[in-house]
Amino acid sequence: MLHTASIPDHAPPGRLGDWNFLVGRWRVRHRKLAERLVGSTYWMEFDGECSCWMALGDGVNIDDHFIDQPTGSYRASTIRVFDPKRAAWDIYWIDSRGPPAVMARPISGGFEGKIGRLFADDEWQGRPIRTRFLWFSDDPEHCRWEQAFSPDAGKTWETNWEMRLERAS
Amino acid sequence: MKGPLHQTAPGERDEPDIDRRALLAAIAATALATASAQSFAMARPPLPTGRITDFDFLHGHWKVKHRALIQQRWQEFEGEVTSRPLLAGQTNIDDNIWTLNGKTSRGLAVRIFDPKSSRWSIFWLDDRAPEKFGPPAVGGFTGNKGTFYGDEEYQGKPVRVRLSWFIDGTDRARWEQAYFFDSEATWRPNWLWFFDRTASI
Repeated sequence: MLHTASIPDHAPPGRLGDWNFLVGRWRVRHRKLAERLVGSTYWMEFDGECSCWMALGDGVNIDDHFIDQPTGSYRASTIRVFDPKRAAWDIYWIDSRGPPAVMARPISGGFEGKIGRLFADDEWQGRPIRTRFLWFSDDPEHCRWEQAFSPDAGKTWETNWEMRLERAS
Repeated sequence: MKGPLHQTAPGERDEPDIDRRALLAAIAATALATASAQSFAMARPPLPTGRITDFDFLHGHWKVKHRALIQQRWQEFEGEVTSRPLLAGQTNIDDNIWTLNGKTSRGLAVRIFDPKSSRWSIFWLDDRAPEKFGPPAVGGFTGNKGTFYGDEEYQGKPVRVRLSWFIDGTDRARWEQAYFFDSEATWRPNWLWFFDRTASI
């Protein structure tokens, strides 16, 4: 379990404009844990590309990823929808490997300064887990993302995927 | 409650007229069941299949003339759509805006192709209820016509929905949404969109 003890286990409110830093084209360096929630320490590293734009005025943010994973390249897309009533962003993920659906349970949250925290109650291989996304908008040319799963309702977290993004244009 | 069959006393043979009434009742029941089966078949035909390229025609910027049935009156208004491919064409997203009676609304259509079933699933979300995507309409194109079926809620009740696309050349298209009404065994259109391309993408 990695370096995340100091991260609060609740989502800050979201605001319109939270994803403005991400709009554009990016080169991505992925670091992905080979297996999840089994104590794996083997990380795959590989490249990817991402482009990101706003939709629905400024209420939706969309990105489109090419992920050149050595075990098989694929594409994926994120749809982030702002709900003004809850002051929250809901993040949905579409994967070219299926299923052909917008997932039912989005990951929800917002930003506190340059750090975004978003959470969901989910399942991993039949086990209930809590999922956390962290975003770090470091500077206009660089940002980072981490995905972590918690098998114990947020007591411990295993980070299983990191992306480092460098602006391409 | 007294039905025809209950008029026969125990141990007594059925009278011919009672037989006839029972038969008539049975025929009426069968007719109802047949009508309901026909209605069901109309509302739930086999889902059309399509191809991953079905929505390539739509990528671009469009002006849209809307005709919508609102409180039993057809109203006309205008809007715009931008449609873009994602996932190398396996998904596409339409970003919609329209203005009705001075109020601007926005909606997002997300279409995802399933190579296993050769069908598209179409999801919709708009700014009246941004907290969730609706259930999908599923189908595909044959030639220049696309047909998609799904289940929605209308005024708190479940309703079967059909989305139809018609491609009229490279720069024109039409879209129609219809709901199925069991009581009339009819599809009734309630929203038509007429697309004119303004720019490619």
